[in-house]
Amino acid sequence: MTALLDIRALSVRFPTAQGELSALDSVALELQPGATLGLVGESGSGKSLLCRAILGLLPRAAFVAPEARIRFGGEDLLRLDSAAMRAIRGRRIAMVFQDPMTSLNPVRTIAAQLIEGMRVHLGLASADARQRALELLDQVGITAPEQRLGQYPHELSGGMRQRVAIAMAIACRPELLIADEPTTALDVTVQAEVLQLLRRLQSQHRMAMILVTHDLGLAAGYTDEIAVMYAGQIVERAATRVLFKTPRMPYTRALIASVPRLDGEPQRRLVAIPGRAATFYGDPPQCRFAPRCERREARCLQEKPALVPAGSDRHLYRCWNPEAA
Amino acid sequence: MIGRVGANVGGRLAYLAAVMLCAAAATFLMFELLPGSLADAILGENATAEDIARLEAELGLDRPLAERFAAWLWHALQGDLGRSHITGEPVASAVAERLPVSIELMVLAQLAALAIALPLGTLAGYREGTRIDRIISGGAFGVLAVPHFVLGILLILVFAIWLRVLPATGFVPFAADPLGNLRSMVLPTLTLALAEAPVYLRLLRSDLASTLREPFITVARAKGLSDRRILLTHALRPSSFSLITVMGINIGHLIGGAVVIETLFALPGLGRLLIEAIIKRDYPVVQGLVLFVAAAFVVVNLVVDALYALIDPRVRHDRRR
Amino acid sequence: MIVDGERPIEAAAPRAMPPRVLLPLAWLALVAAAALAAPWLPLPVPHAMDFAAAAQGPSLQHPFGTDLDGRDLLSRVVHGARISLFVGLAAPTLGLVIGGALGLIAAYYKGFVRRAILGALDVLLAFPTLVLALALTSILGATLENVTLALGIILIPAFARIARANALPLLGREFVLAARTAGAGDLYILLREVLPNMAMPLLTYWLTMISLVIVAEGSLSFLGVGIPPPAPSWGGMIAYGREALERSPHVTLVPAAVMFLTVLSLNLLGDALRQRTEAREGALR
Repeated sequence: MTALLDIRALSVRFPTAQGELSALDSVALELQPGATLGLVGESGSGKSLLCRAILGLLPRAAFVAPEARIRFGGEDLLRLDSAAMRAIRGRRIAMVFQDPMTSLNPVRTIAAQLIEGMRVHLGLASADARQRALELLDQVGITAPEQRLGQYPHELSGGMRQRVAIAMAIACRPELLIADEPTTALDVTVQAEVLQLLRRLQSQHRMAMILVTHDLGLAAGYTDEIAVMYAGQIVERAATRVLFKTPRMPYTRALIASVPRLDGEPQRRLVAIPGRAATFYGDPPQCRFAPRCERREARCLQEKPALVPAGSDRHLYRCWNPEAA
Repeated sequence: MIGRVGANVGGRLAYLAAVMLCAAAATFLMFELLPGSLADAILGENATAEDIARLEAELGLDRPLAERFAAWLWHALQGDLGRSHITGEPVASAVAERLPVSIELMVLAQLAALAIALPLGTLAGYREGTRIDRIISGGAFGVLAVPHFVLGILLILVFAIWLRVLPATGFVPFAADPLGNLRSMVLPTLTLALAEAPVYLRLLRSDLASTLREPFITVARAKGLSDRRILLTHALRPSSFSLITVMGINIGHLIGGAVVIETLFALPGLGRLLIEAIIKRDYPVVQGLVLFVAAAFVVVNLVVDALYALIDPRVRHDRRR
Repeated sequence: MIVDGERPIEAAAPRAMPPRVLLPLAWLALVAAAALAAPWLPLPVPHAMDFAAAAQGPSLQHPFGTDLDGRDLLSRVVHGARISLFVGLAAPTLGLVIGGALGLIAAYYKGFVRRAILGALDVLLAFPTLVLALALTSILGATLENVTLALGIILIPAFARIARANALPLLGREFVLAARTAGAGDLYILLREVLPNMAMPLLTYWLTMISLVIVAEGSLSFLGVGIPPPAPSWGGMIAYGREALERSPHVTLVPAAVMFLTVLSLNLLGDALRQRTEAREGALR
């Protein structure tokens, strides 16, 4: 089966006073139609930037390496002109953002914001678009949709706003949905509902999804495959179950260990990873996690590890001194 | 919704009425505190004390302050703003005659200012930080530093004296000669528009630039909407609050006549009436005019406030002071 | 090369002053120096008329030319600077001191005091600016002091608003509570704790108001209701030169240019100051 999304050698740099900031380094990903990929990492790891790169929404100052490729359904998104890219955004690839409070325009009605995408991409007439908007609200589980259409974002609760954002995103039946921390800003009780909603929509519409989160526990429950990011690099990538069972990269293991467990012993100290994520300039010949790694060796600070397979082709990791299998 | 807006407007109206009352009292008092009374001014320097006393009794100036204020206010509410003690003409009729001129100037100038500020401000805000933005902002900044009357004089110099295409001063009533009227209004309108446009431009630019940084704009781009569509349907409305506020204040001021412009171009508006009355020491006229202008200003502010509710739905549902 | 876990620090702001700050400063320094030294400068007296030399363009004798009555324009402009700078500095200061105090009081005290102050300010605001200035000068009489007073009074509401808007969040902060717990009195808190933290925005606005007042004074003189002739106010000079606009435009253009450059310089400085204040606040956050 050909991949829906195929990213290769994606490196993104920003010119700063201190030099070229390496925000993404040789990112490579694959996503099959209808599958869910979890993108996990701390803040600053480059997860959001990667999503924006896919959608072509990088800041003006960003410099994308010429050898990078983002193939989507046969086309290289990086080589498209702005009109062609606009035709894809919202129509074939859609995104749900983190904070529902600020994702919706406060001075426009829910209806207007739901409908505009449909009118631009699908050419629907007002009445048809409105009808479809009602269906969408129903699909995302919003009660009294008629009433909601005429309301403004500030009249809805956070959870409802996020559902509206999801409705907006799936309005044109995209093939790929990118969800950037869709539940981080929501109450815990609402989080599970929203994630289940996303899963349901996925299976209904055969939609692939990239679920970005810093919460490994969350990723465990809702993804087929997970890619772990650190300091702009993919450091490990595997099917979800495999990742949790046999993580090879020490960072992954540390992440897993730091997830608080209800079934662990009480009084057990929470494990934290010492130090903070650093920023890197240029292309330093080292492992980026080495400064904080327990298993650091001399080689880790002298040579940059490549992504290598661990047994099967589908489990890749980047480490000179991996955990035992 | 109407009920709540209505209640708010009602409360605001009551407050403003109270403010207006105090403003009226202040206006009245201002002139009462002058050394020498009105009778003094009318009769001039050679009047004897008896002449003054007699005229004062005639004019009712010897009655207690509070009583005179009440009488004055009562008349004002009925539309009688006093009489010029030089020409005897009622202030109210002078106002009625000159108000249309001031309003014409105000309307034309606001339209012209918007015609300049909207496109340029939007362009500058959209392309914030680029060369075109620096040129536009720099230009606006420079024009802003030129005082109104200097702008007017420069325009007169160029168009009326050097190029001889427009009249330097003078006003032709619209009813008499529409084309002549418009011709005589071009320079005054342009002067006022150039004086206000830079402010509007900078406000719009800065608000727009900051709105474009909001997350919901990124969301709109992620939906695949074109930049033009985003600007027009998503970005402009939330960016117009400061602009509307200042426009409202300007309109309120201008109802009282653009004093400087009218004097410079010899337009028979309210502003010039005020200046002439001041120079001639025609205090009843000044008193009546100031009251009228203050009242008009307050009313316009109220309208602008109500306009917010139309534009920003958050205000509609939740009016917090 | 590893950067140790800290956020990348932006390169420090360049030390040297850019030309858009340096040039305005230079111009203003020149104007201020000329204004202060005016009585001692080797210039003809500003009201010395010489009809033989009327309406002449710039020459060695008269670097800026002469006006319609033969008066030296350079001298008049320099003496006019004294007036403009006096009013331009005194009126905003008046507004700052009184308005700032009122705003602070209105923020600190609740109830009647606050409502009375805000109400009085609203009454003042009910009058359009120039109209109020005109009314006040016509009542008080048109002298330098009265014009300054009138313009200062007009500025009070704006300063009061800014002072209040800045004081309110400060009053809610812990250090005020801490001071009060330590037994400090109201006045002490206001003066020593709150005021220093409000200084920046108030001073920035004060600087902006200088150019506004200079233009306002110019407008009043232009209309003939400001400081009366023969005082060489810039606005008055501009008005006076109108009748000779066709033959001798320099009579009007010279004071107009000086006024424009001064206002422009003040605005540029105010802008630069505002940018630096905002940048500093942003960095704190």
